[in-house]
Amino acid sequence: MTNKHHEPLFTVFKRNSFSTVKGIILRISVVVIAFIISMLICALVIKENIFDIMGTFFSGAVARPWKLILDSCLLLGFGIAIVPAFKMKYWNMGANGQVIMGTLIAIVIMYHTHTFAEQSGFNNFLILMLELLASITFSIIWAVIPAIFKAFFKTNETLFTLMMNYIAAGLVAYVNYALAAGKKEAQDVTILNQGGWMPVVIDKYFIPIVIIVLMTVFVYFYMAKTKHGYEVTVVGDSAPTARYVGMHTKTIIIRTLALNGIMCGIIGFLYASAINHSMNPTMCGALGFTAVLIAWLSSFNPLIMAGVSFGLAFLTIGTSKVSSVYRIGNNDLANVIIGLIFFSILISEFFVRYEVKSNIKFLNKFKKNKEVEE
Amino acid sequence: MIGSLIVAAISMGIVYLFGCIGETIIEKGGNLNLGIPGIMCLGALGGAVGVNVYFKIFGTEKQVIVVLILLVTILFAFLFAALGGMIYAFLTVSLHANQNVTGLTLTTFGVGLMKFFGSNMNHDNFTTASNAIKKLFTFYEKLGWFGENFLSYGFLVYLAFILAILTGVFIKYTRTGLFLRAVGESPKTADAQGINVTAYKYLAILIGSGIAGLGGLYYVMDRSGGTTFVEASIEAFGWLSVALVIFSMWKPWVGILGSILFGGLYVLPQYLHISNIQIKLFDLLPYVVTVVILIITSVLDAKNSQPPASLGVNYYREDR
Repeated sequence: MTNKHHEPLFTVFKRNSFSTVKGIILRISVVVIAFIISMLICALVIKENIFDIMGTFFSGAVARPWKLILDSCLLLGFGIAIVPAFKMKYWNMGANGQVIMGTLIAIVIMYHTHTFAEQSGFNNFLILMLELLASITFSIIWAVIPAIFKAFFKTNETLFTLMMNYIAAGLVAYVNYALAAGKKEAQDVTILNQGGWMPVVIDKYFIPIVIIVLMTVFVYFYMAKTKHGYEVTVVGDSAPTARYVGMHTKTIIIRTLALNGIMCGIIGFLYASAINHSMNPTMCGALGFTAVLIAWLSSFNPLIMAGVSFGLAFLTIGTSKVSSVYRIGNNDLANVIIGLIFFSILISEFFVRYEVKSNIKFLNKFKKNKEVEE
Repeated sequence: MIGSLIVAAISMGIVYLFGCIGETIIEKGGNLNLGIPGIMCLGALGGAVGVNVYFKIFGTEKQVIVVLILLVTILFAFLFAALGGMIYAFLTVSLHANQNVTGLTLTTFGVGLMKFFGSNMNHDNFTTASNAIKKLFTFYEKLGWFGENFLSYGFLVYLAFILAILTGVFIKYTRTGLFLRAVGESPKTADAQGINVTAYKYLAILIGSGIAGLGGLYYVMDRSGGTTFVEASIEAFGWLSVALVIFSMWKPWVGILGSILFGGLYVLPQYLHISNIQIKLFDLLPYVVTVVILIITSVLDAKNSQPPASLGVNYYREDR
């Protein structure tokens, strides 16, 4: 071995800037490539023609437009709800649990009042308001408990909120069981008659969609234009700075998570009154996690989040159609593809932020020749 | 009854213990891997693939050779999990991606992959394989309570205990362990010292992930007796393992006790004479206790129970 100075094969530099257009093109092309690769893998696994699979995918995704829009909005809603917390670098993994608690109490209220509400139709509005208030209260409690401990004792909020998810899911299982007790078989409590239901305008999903869109607009203005939003950003960027300029970081943390709770409560209320009219421990699936990824990778920009949510909802519905047509599992394939796509986005993020220079002589020669030609 | 409760607690706790050992090694290198649930699922998937590979090579007719099936399944579980770890390591160490986001993606991916391929897999030989894996000493019943309490487990249980002890020794008493801690506490200092930070982080993540993956293998092939693992809640066990790391204060020896406690909480409802509806409430116990533990450790804020100083922060040499 010679004692020559050893240079690494690649050197990585931080970029000063990266043009927005280039960034968008890079990200979109990465997603498209990841999607095509996933479809190829899919075709290999189920041994079918890839174009048939793609056909099933796209026709399945657009078959029920209201469902598609609702699913996009739900993803967006979960994401929007946690944006203020994440801006504060508070890792709220508990959106699922917070929403489920809202649904839980709304269902309990519906269960006890629906017969009464059906008989006296005009009271339905009051019951709806009662559900909404209760949902919001429960979600706030669920969101604020970890926040209080985070603010005062720096308790790890990531794991705390995760555990709160499982506790909420367990409570739903318990209440379902308790309310169904005496019946022959334990099953999910479903409110079948219209008592406590959200009235149907245009479509069953129309009002939830409108409410979530309004929520998105609200969060945009809250974060961009209000003093509260500004304080949240400062605490997230540097908690010591916030303290030095006299902000009450503890109050801000708890207040922000209360807002988070309000929004999760509204979504939980929508689940109970308009979307499902029932509850079960896994009703939110992995929405809470996916929302974290969406919010983070969209840099918390509501507009980008809306686009990404739509893309993911499209992907999920399309894939579940593929799964059911070709009889392969249920929604698991969608999670695999979502995973692959997020991995590729994470890789592309690197090239947006850093520049790679190769030190391999052969490559550099090639590059120089190319530059000369140009 | 208490004896059998402890046996059950240990046999459940091993799932958490594998995850806890793996995550401790990774966190000591300064990486917070929230992909552990996904990695454990990948380990379970790898184990299942290993079982199928074994029976493909050696045929189903003959007697199962315990040593070989253990070797094959452990190898595959470790490899699959380490591959998951490789993705995480490449993204966070080489590409400086956010650790939490990468971990969550890995969890989504791993859980999906296990359920997807798991449901489309040949399950025929799982019970046979599990019976071979489940019992290491066939003579334990002759030894009375001693055999029942100490020798009735499968090889993976003993492996977990040995690994926990060895990892504890490694981290605390060896030179390499010291370097690994240095990387986790202050990668800048370690780098200045001439320690190859990237290599340490990669190896810690790969080995840690592989060990965590054995937890998935253990749950499917030993604890649950090789029943189909589509419904398995390995994801929840993964999160509890991550919590166990905090409970054990990054000390695998404490992790052994913690895992038995967590396992005990999980199996406790079956040992109490309570109605089905009360069991639903008792099912919450592991999570509630974990929350209480998180709160207590943070309120006490003891000096010797702190995470590595640069946990969760990526190291980029040019950053100041």
